[in-house]
Amino acid sequence: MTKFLKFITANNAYMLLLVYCGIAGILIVYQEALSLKSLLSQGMEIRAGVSRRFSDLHQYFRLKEENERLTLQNAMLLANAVTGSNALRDSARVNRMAVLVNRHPAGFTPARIVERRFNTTENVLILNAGSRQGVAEDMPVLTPDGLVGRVIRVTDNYSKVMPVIHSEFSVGVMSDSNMTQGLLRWDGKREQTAQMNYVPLSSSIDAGETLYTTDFSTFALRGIPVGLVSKVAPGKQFFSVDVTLLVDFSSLTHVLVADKTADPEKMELLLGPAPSGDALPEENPNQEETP
Amino acid sequence: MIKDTVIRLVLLCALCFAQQYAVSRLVVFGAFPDIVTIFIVYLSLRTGQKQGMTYGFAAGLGLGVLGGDIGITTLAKTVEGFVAGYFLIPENSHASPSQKKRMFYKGVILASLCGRAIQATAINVLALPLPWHIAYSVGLVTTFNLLVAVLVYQWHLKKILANT
Repeated sequence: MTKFLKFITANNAYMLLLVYCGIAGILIVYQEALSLKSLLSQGMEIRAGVSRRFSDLHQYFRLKEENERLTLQNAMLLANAVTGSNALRDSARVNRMAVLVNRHPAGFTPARIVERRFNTTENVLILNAGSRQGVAEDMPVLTPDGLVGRVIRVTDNYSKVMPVIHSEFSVGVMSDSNMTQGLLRWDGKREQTAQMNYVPLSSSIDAGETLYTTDFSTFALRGIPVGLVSKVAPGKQFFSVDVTLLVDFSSLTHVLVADKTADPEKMELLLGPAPSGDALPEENPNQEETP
Repeated sequence: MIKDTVIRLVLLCALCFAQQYAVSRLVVFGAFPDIVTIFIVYLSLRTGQKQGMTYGFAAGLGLGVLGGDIGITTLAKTVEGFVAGYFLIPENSHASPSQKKRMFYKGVILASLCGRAIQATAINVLALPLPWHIAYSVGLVTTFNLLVAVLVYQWHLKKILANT
């Protein structure tokens, strides 16, 4: 016993290290536990609040540029609306499809990006809309240009978004002309280029086709534009498809959060029945791997 | 003693906020300097391994709550404090200023390498290939930290450590 106590006294720095590492280990394991999660959410709230102040200040000095950008975007949207309404008037089939789509309309919550982290330890966007504004986990985030990402954590007034250009992000996509399906992922090489995986050699896909999200997605609405096929090269079993993303992440300031989360019934079918009824997995982007 | 501890903790808190809101925006090739690590090394050099480790643990908790990765950050900062403690400069040390300088720089390099290696092992959010991930997340950050450490030493720490 005396020897043991002597040993402890002589090596107390190592013992303390063990204790601290043990606590850190427990924190790693239980990071997603409810109590820790609420602590981290409060931390995120503080961080996002301070970042918002910085962002407000920065935006104040960029108002003129922002106005010009919005004017340009309005002009583009107006042009799109005119083209779209003409097409709707001309085609009864498209009209019927529009009715079908409108049967399940999704509302959108506008939000501003108050913080963006893109470095070796973090790759997230923080929006100034949270659960009070109707945002929930697993909601898709988009702009008129295309898909931005998915909500992975929500506090009262802020939400954290995993962007498409994140190593763990994936989404089921479909090409517009050939209806070829695949799984879109980002390999981390270039910010504007992602890859469409699992496209069999038997399917047809051409450069220039636009990719949209599919119904198979566990979070995204069907038909959100994602990117343009820029390069197609045959591999052993699958095509190697490069996709130029439609959203320019470097100049992103405002986004829309679609008020739609994964259908619990669909999730139950995909992942098996959940004992507590909480079938939605959190921050598990790998659940998309069902092309 | 208590006054010193309180001052150090307040400084540590301030540096955690500065790290989150200012320094982490100085991103070059995906990496940025870590001033909290440098301060932990300084504290370990002055107070020893156990206290340095405790300050590291506290800094890790603070940074983790603000950043979202509480477990890994706490582990990394604790190890940084522990490693830097090997370069303790005791009170009334007979070491020459250049020896103290070398010990401070060695502490920064070793602590940065260990801390970043732990964080890099756990997360690779940019999906970088392993060699690049190590180069950016460990090598580049350590280099940045060393540069900041040189600046801080020349600007301020030189006088403090010389009087130890």
